[in-house]
Amino acid sequence: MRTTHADDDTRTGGRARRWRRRLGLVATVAVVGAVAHIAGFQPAVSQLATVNAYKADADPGMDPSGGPWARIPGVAVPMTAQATTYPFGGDAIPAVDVRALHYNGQLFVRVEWPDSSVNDSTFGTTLFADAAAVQFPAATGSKVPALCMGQADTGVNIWQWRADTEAGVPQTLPEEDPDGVADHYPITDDLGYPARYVGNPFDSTGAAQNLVAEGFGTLTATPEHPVNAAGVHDGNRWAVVFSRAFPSPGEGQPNLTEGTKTDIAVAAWNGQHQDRNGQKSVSQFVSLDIGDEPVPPDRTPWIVILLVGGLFVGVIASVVVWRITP
Amino acid sequence: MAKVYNWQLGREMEYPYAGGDRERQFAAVFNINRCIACQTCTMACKSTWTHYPGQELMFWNNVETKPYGGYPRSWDAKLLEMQETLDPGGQNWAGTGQADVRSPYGRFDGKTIFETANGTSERVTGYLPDDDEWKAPNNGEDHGTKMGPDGAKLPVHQGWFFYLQRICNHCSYPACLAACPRNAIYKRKEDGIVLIDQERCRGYRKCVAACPYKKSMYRPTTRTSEKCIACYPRIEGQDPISDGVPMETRCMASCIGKIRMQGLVQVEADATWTHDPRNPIYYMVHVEKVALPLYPQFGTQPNIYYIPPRWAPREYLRQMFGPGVDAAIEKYANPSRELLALLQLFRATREVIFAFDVIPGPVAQTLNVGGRSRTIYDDTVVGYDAKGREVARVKVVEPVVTRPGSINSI
Repeated sequence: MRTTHADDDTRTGGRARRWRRRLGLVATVAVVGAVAHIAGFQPAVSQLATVNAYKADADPGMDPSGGPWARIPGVAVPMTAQATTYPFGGDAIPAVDVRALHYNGQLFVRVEWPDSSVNDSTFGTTLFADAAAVQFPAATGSKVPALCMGQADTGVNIWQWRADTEAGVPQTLPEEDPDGVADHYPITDDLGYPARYVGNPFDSTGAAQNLVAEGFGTLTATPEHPVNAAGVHDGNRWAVVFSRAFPSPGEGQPNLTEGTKTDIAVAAWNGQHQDRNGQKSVSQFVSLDIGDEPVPPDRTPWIVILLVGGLFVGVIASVVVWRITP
Repeated sequence: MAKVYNWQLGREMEYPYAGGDRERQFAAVFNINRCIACQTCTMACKSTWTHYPGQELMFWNNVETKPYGGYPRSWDAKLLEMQETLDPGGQNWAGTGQADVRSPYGRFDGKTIFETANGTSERVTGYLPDDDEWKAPNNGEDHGTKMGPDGAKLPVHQGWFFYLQRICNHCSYPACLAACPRNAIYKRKEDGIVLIDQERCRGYRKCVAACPYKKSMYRPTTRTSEKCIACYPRIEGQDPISDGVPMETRCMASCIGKIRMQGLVQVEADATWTHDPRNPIYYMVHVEKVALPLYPQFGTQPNIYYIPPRWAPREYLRQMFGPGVDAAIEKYANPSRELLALLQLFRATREVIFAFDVIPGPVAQTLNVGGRSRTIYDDTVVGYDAKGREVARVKVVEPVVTRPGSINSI
């Protein structure tokens, strides 16, 4: 079959366009790969069953949105609805992003998960709070306890953050409900708040609770409050930072130090879904390695330079290829 | 699920826990026929236990008007409908009562709230009312109705209504306890009182959803659930004026309509009542069968017993109190000498009455009631406290006292 010049030109032009596309694709992949590598992004948990707690050279504070957290690899830990014991269920949050670091004898764990609604009030019979918890074996180096609350001889230590307790303790109906009216409260001493009187941790202003358990139904708050927690919602996701000093505060709580290898599991509750108690999303245990590897330095300027440079090289390359192609 | 015996249903049923140690059971009889809904009981409870911030909508004791009233709104109709949906056409009583303490009302062949939850993610069938449903504790007050082919509908004042006085039933098989995933709810063996441990409660509200009578309530200022505590310091005899013997609760002791009598009954390991016809509560529930449990078909074996109102439609009452309604109303309308005397002991003392005696008296009056001849005897009834001491002595015929003119001054 005879071809015309026009046909040859068409074929030549098509090859050039394909070349340019391939070159552009290679350049883009190279740039994205370089940026991802420098930023420390590591995608799949199936390849990463260990959360490394990096060593920070400055106090990271309790703000989950800033500081060194962006420089630490996030481990995507898959979650499922709790299906082991009553009450079953949970909103099946698909995965949480877990990061950890330590500074000056203090462990920090950051958990981030998708949640489009903020549920930080429990001032209503049908209102439940967003929450998250991390769980550790009561003792490091021993056998791994049962994921769900441990067992009699091998307990667990749980640090829980709740959006409502972080928001504070509501006081009276009129303060919380614009339609609420109360004529008079004759007495307001602690005797009228039995939970407060006996030290129930929910009736406190702290955002974090430190709990120990040795099996279903045994979850108990410790009298001491060694755990801090703070959460931030960015409109689509919660990010929460937990922290605790390394030394064990008491029975049933792990003693941590640099070099500790233990396990960590995560739970998250969606208050919008009326999640509470066993109605939650849970992960399996993954490894937690409190090592001496420093937090990667801030490479943001290099990323910007590389991005701009990469784009510049890509454009130049495309122009050159376009020019030299007949 | 364990198998336990529910004598109100006349059969075994499934419950998450096997029966534990039991010695005595808190119980009471409320005579609906006498109540005027003055709410003195409600305020006695409120001013004692629930007047703190966060308890604004909380009434451990409430009096509602049936059929429209409910606290929370439509609590019973909602659960009845759920049960019917889960066991269509099956919520029926069958068999005849064997007239003993193990099956006084026959046998319930339907499913309890524990049994309809089988195969679900819950232990108990129930629902969580929202705050609006708790905001009108006396909604529907005095709204009467008339039963028609389609049930009861407005307009008002053509038919009937009655008041229903409600506190926690301190059930033998509490749904709140069954549903609590924290083991924060417990039932005391010494008196059967059901309590929420305020140290362990974490405000999950499983008990609020599970209690068929909606007597476990959430308190947002402590983020825990609270409930009627049966004034347990009084039941324990701790009140300084009780002299160490159990005293009736605040709601009982304050009742100006004299509709309430509270007691403690001996119970067996299977939660049936030990034979004790001198105990006034036992006598009314098991000897005369004049007082009936509220919605026994839910299966929790509640321990507040009601003398049903004589004027309300029997079909409605049978659904509410079970198949013993007709016999109970007959007993109340034509009481025996003992029962008539015992009814005078209501509110005669603040101490819990553990035993009573009737001393026969002369004929006081002969009446014709509903075409039947009845003789009223002026018997004397005597009540005894936990130590066997006489604490009340009342005659059937109330003595007439004429005020002397010298003090008849305004």
